[in-house]
Amino acid sequence: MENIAEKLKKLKDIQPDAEYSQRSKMVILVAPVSPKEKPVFGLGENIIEILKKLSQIQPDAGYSRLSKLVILGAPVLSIKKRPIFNWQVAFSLAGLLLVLITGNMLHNLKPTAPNLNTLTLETELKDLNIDIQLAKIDYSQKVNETVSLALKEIGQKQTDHLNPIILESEQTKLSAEPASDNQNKKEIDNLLDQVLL
Amino acid sequence: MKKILKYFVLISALSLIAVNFTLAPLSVASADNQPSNLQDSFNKIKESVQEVKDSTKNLITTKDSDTLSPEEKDKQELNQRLDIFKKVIRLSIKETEDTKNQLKKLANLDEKKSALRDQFETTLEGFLKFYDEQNKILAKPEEIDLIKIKEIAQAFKDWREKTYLPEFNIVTDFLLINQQKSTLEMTQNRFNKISSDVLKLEKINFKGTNELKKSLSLAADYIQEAKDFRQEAEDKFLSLEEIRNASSTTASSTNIEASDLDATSTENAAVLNAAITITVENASSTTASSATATSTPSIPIEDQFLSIKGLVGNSLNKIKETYQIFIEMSNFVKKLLI
Repeated sequence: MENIAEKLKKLKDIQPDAEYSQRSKMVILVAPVSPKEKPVFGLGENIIEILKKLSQIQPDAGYSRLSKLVILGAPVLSIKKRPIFNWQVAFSLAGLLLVLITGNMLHNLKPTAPNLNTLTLETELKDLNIDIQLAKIDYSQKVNETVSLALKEIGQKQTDHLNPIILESEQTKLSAEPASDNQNKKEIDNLLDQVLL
Repeated sequence: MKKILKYFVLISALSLIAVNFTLAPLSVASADNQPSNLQDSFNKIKESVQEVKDSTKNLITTKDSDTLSPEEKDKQELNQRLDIFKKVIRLSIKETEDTKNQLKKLANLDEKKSALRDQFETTLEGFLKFYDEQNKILAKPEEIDLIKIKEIAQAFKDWREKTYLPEFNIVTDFLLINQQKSTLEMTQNRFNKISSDVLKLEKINFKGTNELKKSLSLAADYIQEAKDFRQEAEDKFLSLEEIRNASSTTASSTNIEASDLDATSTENAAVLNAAITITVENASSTTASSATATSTPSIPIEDQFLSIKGLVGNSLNKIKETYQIFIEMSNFVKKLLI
């Protein structure tokens, strides 16, 4: 972008030579506004001669050279083809290759046992669902007992007080009671302390 | 020049990361903690069992209650009996559907086993239809009184004990035996891979190779034991299936004779059981190759099917121990490599 701006500045600075400039002005000024009108300065009759002269005039060598340089220099450079070989890419690829080869060599030198990875083994063991299958085998008997006892209870008028479901429930209740007893005792102690203090 | 260096550093860093991922021996397969379907279905069954227990407790509490009038008590008891029965049906459906789904997932079955699987699937579908019929009865509670619900429950209990459970145990045995086959294949595959690793370590004179080889040998023994248990279970299952198929013909002829004598259904069942036991005894005396039948001639066929679960359980435990050895080996190698 900087180059283009500089070149445009240069293009602005260059001027045609005085004769070229003057002749061009004259040609422009003598040109009739419409074909019926007479030339402003009365030079219309000689127009063919003037035009002939105009076709012969040339810009001076310096102006021509500078214009060509500016025109050829600015846009053409921007669409110039990239070179096939690029040092940046070459260095980067070389670096990548070096790291890969070194890494591979280091890896081959170090003893490894990829199939003895603890995490993989633990995951595989988990995926085998052995514990769930064992639990299911044990539990199938429990399902049968529960259903059998429930159906028996539907059919009976009186309660079977030795029904394992009841015994299990009471056992759970009893094991939970000491905890609540202790809590009650603590609360009573706290209340007594408050009264005494 | 600065740009070149920048590119060089950036690509080198990226390649180092790539090398780490490519060459690191971590190849964790499915490490994400997805809850397995097996666990989910098991949890659902456990929930259903708890629901049945809770409803049973409620009925017992009502039966023991002195605060309710006899009419109120009867009404409450009837509702609670219906509630228990509904939950029993729900549990039975879940149990049957779970087994059916697992049967469908069985892969690499030979022709004979595939035919058995299809047969078992049909059996389970029959059970599900039976549960549907029960649900239809329960859909009209206004038509059910205390006497009727007791009768329905008793009939269901009899059906469950005489028809459902013997068949269901056979199906679950078949399922466990074939699921265990896949487990053993996976374990054997892991064992082979670990063996190749140990061989590689031995080639480079890794100092712990001898210990690793000892552990590997123990693991091989455990895998063999696991295979033996499974094979015993399968042999037992197939011989019992043959006996069962043969006895079903005997039983049907016995049933015809029994029906001619106007025998009750209970008597028929007793005759059927006796026929099966006799057949087992005969089979054990004539078939020397059937080690199972020879060792337990007087055990009813249903119990023998139950003992298959024990054998598969032993096989599963051996696989668990094998993996423990693998994990110990892994930790041992890790310590030596640090």
